[in-house]
Amino acid sequence: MHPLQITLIAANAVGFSLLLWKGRLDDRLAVLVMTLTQIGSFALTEVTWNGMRAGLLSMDLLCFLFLWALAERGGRWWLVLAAGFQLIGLLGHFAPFLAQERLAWALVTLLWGVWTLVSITVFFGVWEVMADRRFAREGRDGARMDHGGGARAAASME
Amino acid sequence: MTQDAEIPRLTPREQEILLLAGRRLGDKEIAQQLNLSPRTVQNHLHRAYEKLGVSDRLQAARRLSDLYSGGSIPISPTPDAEPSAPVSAALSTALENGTMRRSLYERYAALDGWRRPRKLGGSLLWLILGWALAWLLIAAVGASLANPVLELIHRLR
Repeated sequence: MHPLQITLIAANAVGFSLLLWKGRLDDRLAVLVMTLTQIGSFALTEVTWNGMRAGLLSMDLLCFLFLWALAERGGRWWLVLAAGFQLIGLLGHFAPFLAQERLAWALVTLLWGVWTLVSITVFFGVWEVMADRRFAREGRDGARMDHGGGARAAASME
Repeated sequence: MTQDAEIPRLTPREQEILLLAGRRLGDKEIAQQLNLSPRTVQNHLHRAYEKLGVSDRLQAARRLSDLYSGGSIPISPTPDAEPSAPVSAALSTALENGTMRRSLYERYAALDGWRRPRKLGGSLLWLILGWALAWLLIAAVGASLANPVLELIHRLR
């Protein structure tokens, strides 16, 4: 296994654990989706169809759709950013169909970059979750809550 | 118009509470620290907001910072409460050079409606697509610059 791969897996493990610990249901579901995608990617890497890595493509497509749905539901910036990066990873699968071989290689390299960026985004997610919790706590202590004060309410300082 | 005329008269207690609020403490925490009830803290805060013409603690902290930069701190002549040493220290730190340093969290709190991604046409897809497109452009520019830069380095050697 490549050292970068080991580093990214370790970083993901730390980031995912923190999100599972501190996050809400949407954050936890996103962690579950991304973990399953990584496991599925390793398992289905050899599945091909018409020269395409159909196994990886289907995993990435499913991951993007789930992240998009969670972003719509959860209203978290880190989910939006992760879904954007996942979309780039998904588009990377079509690189072999491009005429220019150099551009195809650039996009394959991009997939590794995307994984790195997603790993960084996970840590941004941890920060966002903590900031959101603090904001809600301060709102409870001395303020009103927007959106009716429900579980997804955003607090406003007063 | 003199500076005294412009600066609202805050009682030491109001200043004390505003400073603690400016340090991101909640009402309960402030109440515990000053041995008051949360309700009393809220009353003091509301009176201070009215005097400063603001509606929340972030605005109040900023207004205090603006008002007191370069000037003396006006304290109403109520003899009972001198600000405690830690609060005075916090005051001088916070108002040093007339600015309050804004942490990442404070910037987050000031985002208001943008604390959560905004939907367009009921969807966040535009944000996701925009983000992906921006990074694809960065990657394309990086890839197109890679070869010329490598050639330039090779030539310089």
